[in-house]
Amino acid sequence: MRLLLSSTVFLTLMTPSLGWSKDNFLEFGDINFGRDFKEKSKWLFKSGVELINYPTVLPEFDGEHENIGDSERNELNGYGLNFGRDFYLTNGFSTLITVGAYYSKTLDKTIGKAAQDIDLDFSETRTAHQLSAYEAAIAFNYIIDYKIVDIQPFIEVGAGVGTAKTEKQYKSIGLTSVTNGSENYDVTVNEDFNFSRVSLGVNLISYKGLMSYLKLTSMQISKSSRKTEGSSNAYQSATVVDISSDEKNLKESETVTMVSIGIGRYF
Amino acid sequence: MNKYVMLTLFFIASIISSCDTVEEIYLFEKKDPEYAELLVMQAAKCVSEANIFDSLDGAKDFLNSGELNRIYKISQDTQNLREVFVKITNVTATEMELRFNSSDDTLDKVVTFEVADHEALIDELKIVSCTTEYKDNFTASGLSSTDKMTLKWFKETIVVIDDDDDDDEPEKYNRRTDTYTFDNDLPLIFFYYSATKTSKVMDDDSDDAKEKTSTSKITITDVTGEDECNSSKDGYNLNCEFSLTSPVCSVDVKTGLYGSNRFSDELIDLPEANCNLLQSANL
Repeated sequence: MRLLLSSTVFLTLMTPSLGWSKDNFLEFGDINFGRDFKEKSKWLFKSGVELINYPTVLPEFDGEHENIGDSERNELNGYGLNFGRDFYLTNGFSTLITVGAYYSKTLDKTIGKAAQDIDLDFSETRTAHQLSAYEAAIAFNYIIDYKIVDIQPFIEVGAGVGTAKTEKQYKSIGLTSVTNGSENYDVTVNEDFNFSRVSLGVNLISYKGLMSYLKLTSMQISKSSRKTEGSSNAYQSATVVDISSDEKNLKESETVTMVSIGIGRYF
Repeated sequence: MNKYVMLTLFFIASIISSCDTVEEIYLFEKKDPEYAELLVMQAAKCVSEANIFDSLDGAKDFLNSGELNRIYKISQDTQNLREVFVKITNVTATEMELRFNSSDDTLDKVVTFEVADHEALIDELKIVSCTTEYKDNFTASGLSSTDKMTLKWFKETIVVIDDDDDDDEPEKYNRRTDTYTFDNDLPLIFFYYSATKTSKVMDDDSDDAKEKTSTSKITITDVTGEDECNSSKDGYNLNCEFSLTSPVCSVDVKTGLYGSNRFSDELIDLPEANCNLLQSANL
């Protein structure tokens, strides 16, 4: 579903700059990015939608209708903002230095109905993610001059810090004939991490400096601390177990991928 | 201007792409041994969440109901084919006495409606409203209300079964939907007089035959202090004299009709001789 939605976003953003330019749609003109402007240093502001495959670590739980593993990957949608200056070098080469921020907040809910024709919510799993990150990056660009739109492939490296909050709740009411048949799992995990990344992408730049971009990123995340708060109540158990923990000086490292698409403006 | 269109599109697409997701899955199937217990659990949950049952249950305090000496008028259909006046002439902690008076003498009677009948009616109402396996016959709405709820009872007689003409419909049938309103402001037995019955009849199996639809409606209104029972009004004696003492009728709340879609079945009956319930007209 998210892939479909992301594709929709991508098509929404890319189509104007490629196909509808001759009608001056969205101000992408017949004439490409002005040469005078192109060969000068300039500022850039860009914003985009980012899809990240973030690794989540939660206390394990083996429920009747939900199994929570100690390590899961979750697709998070978020928004990125970057601001920077593009320094023109020579012969179409330039370097872009930016600072940026990323924010994501998602909620997924799975309702376990008793059966197709029984309107009874028997279980519910709720997963909420909140992730924010700040970074500095440098990109090396080469602009290819086309008539309709300039194409600018780039490679970018960056580093930054971030925090992630994951809330996982699962409850099942249980059958009335089963003693202590209900289950409950309610955990919140807060993590701090550092990251470095390398990205490959392409900018599509219009005459007036309006641009679209697509970027694929490989990110190395190093988690430095994790605080887990919560409790669980297993099937056929009357005991509520505290599963809180506080881990500092972690040295967990994971590689994650990220896809970014968005628009920006040179000025 | 166009760049604002693009930014708007981008903004909308961004919001859509990050929509929260809600998924529903089914945990058990009909063949599972847990299925029967789940039906019971679902019904219990439905009953516990339905405010109307608590509200109706509270109305079994007849002594404090304020119903004594109230007079109601029952009107049959929009043409007022028959009118029946009913007065609550006596109230105790365990029962209320209702005297019915009509120009149709066959409907004159004294009915004793007991608290036990009230409770039995609510019990039946809970079952037919909240049990999944009876939903083909009964549909309840307004369960979260504290004032009134509606119950629809689907009844059917198949005269000629489907001849496999791909429409999955019987060739001839009589169908009726009885809709009752249970109003917390009225004695519970008056649900019978807050009814709309819609009949659909197919009595011709030719290709161009059309279904015949008819509706019968019974309404009840509070006439205490209104013109209908003003002693100076013509017809007062006819309508609003409740001195009759017979026949004396008790209320029989029918149980176990959950699977029934027979036309003759009703939730209540007056079993004694000459104790006739007003029947719907035009059906």
